[in-house]
Amino acid sequence: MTEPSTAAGLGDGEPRTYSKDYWDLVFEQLARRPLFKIGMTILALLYATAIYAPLIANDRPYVLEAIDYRAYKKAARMLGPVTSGVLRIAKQTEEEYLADRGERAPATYEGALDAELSPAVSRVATMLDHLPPEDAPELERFLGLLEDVKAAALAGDAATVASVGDEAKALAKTIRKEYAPREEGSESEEGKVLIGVVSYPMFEATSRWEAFFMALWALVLTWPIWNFLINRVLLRRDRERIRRWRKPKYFGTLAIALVTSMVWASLFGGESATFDTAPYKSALTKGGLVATRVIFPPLPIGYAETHLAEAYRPPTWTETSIMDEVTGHYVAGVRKPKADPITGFLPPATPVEIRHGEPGLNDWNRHIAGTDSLGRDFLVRIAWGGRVSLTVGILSSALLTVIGVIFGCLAGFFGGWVDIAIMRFIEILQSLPAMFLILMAMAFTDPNFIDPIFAIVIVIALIRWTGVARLVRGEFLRLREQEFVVAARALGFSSWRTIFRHVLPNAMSPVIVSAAFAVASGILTESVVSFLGFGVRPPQASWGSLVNESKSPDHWWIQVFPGLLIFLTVTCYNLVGDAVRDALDPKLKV
Amino acid sequence: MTLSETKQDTDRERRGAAVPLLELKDLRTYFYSEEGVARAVDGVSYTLLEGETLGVVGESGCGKSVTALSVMQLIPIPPGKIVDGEILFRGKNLLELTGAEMRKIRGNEIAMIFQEPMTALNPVYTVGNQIIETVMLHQGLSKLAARDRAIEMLSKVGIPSPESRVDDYPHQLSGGMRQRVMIAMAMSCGPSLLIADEPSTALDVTIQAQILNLIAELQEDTGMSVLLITHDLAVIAETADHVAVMYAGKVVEYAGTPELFERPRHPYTIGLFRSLPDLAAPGQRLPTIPGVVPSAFHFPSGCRFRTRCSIATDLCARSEPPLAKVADSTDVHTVACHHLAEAQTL
Repeated sequence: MTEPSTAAGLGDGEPRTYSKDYWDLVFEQLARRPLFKIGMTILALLYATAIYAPLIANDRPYVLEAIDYRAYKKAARMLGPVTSGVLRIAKQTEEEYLADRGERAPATYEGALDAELSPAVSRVATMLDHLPPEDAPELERFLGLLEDVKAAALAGDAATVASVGDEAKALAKTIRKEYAPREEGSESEEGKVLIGVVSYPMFEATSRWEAFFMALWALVLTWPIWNFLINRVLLRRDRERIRRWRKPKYFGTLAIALVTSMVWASLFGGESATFDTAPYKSALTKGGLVATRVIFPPLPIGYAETHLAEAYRPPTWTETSIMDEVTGHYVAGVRKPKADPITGFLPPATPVEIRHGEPGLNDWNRHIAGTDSLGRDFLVRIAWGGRVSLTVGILSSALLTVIGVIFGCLAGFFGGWVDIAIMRFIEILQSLPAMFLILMAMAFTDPNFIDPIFAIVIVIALIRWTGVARLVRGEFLRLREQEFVVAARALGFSSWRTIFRHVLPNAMSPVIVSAAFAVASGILTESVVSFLGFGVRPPQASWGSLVNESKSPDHWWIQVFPGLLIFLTVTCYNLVGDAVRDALDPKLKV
Repeated sequence: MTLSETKQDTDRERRGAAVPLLELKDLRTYFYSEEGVARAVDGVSYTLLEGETLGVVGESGCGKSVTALSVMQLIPIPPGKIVDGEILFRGKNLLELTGAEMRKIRGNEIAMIFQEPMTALNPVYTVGNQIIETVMLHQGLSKLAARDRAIEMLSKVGIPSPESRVDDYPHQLSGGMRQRVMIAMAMSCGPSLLIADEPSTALDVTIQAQILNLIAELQEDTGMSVLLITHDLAVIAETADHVAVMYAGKVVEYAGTPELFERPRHPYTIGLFRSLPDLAAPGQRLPTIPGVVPSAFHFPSGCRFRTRCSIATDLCARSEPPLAKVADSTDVHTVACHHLAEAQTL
């Protein structure tokens, strides 16, 4: 009995160079599953498509070097009128101005002068953009004269205002004549040869949040490379250091993405544009803009850009899609027009207008996935529609899981009247038809107050959390009787700590799987809601609303492509959810 | 038996001080259900002195564990409720503390180890994590310091290569190792009272001995008190200084261990000793106490043991015998029986 209880013979006693921690084991498990890897890769690519939709499919060019003849001519023409505008104020004294100031006019005399001066500055800036530097001094002199007028007016020197004002007017007239643009190929020596202005319309329209996700996803997609470099080269495969560096790596990724978005915002302004239509393509087509260099995205079509003549055009790589460039008629397939046998009359059709930068009419890549009822390119709409569908899916699933887990924990852990109250509430909620509830809630949400996308997310989460709550409650009822729960409390842990740190992780397996399913059902619910007109508003698209663009079996591409993507997403989520559930469960690995 | 002997010597020295650490006074814990009221603990009183080991022994369902859970205030409420009595820990009534005050005592001053080492550890955390969490919570140590403490505690309870075992999950350990981890966890904050609820029941015999020795050693090192709940009289003989015998929610006999083993007084205790296998007379049927433990919903009137007692009389049915001091004992020895003299003839 006195033998010391060192228990030397009890353990396996094998010396181990390192011990694997929880996440080592989890990652090891995940790495062993090919289906998980496939699912993750496909999901990463789907999300990449959604995140990079502005880069992939857009009617804004990446780079545009163009001469805007219209803007230049207008600026040159307007120099006279803007001078008069400044002089109109300058010729009044301050007292006179304030006496018969209109209700909307600036409150001070100086403010009024500045308000008249600012169009002059912007016109001159437009002209300077298009002119070589040696032409600048004359225009700057013109601006200087206007500044002098302003200074004299403020000083109350009416004589100087008059003399300098006349000088400015004369100069404006001269500039209009001498600085007229010389069209390309024109023989005359009159006017100025303009140079192209470089701009980045696509980047300028991208908001900082879009930039953040784009940068983040670039890092995520290249993660295997970074991870390899950091672990092998920087940390020399030292498992202890790799473990310590895990968190810094993740936060570093987020930080890099954040910094990128800030740099982006400072470089391009970081405006948040709606992206639905941009004037560049039509201006380039009609000649208002003359491009010297223009680079369009691979799909140079905006998601709301319509080509009415191409409505319901089948995918352009199929034979039934070939159109006659002159008449606009289809050449083959069911939509090939038949002449009236007696009169030989062919119904007229509008030829398709090919806009600047677009592929040719019968190129295989003009509309790879066909078009919808308004002739909008379906592939572009699918790429953009993924933004809505994937966002709604993942956010609604996350939110409903959180709500369900909280209520399930409370009901299952505390039991008693808490349980009774929550369960009766859940039963009431479940006895109401969920779809009608969602539609009703959506009908009462003001789209100006909250973006319909987020409204759908919230409504789905508030109505669909009951399943998760019941799952968690069931698990809790099972786990509550386990001794480790009593042991946790015997160690002095509070109820909250016991619930969320000790019981909940044991109850997570079914929750993870149901969250994966919830993503799928969220995507489908959103599609139904959008179809019924309560969801995203046109021209915005989601995969679900795209499926409902047509119900005719002739328009097979409308149902097939978005349907396949929904199917792919749902399947991948289920594969990933399954693998993650197994990997997170420490009981399953030895 | 050298260990037990030396232990009793040191304990006798300590008893000079004889400061009560834990005193139960007429504790009553009832469970309310649709079938009625189960009086699981119905007027239990005993005292545990500083540094000593009190063995609580009794059949299944006699209220041993519920008493221990009442001390920790871990009775599920509802259906359970501590309806009456006092639990004095260092003179403070634990029943009057708020939830937050009680949490500071649990795990820190009073720790508990459980019967089932298979289920008493959280399967999703490493054993190290579970100790670290406890230490961080109660002692306010940093994570690294707590990890060092966890490794130290694991080596103290005799786990080989604790530096790597600290990152093991419970399912990677054997039953005995898990019970050691439980003990390490309970001891990690240096409690002054360890409640061991059948710590060796689920283990095989050799491991049982190791675990009990381990508890005894740790007790010697730290001077803590141990409340040892068991139904195994051998375990009591080995480790306890005093014994409380419980039957049907009550203490029927309380005495020093040697005294109780030499001269059990209560008919129930006598019956218990008689039903131990006797190595000297093999091949015979073991004597048993006739009848079954009465249901906690319907205890008999008067003395609760009378339905199974061969010397019971009308008096036993009419009045409940109080726990009274035995006249001719040298130590504290109390028994609840009307017929002590007759019991000696059993």
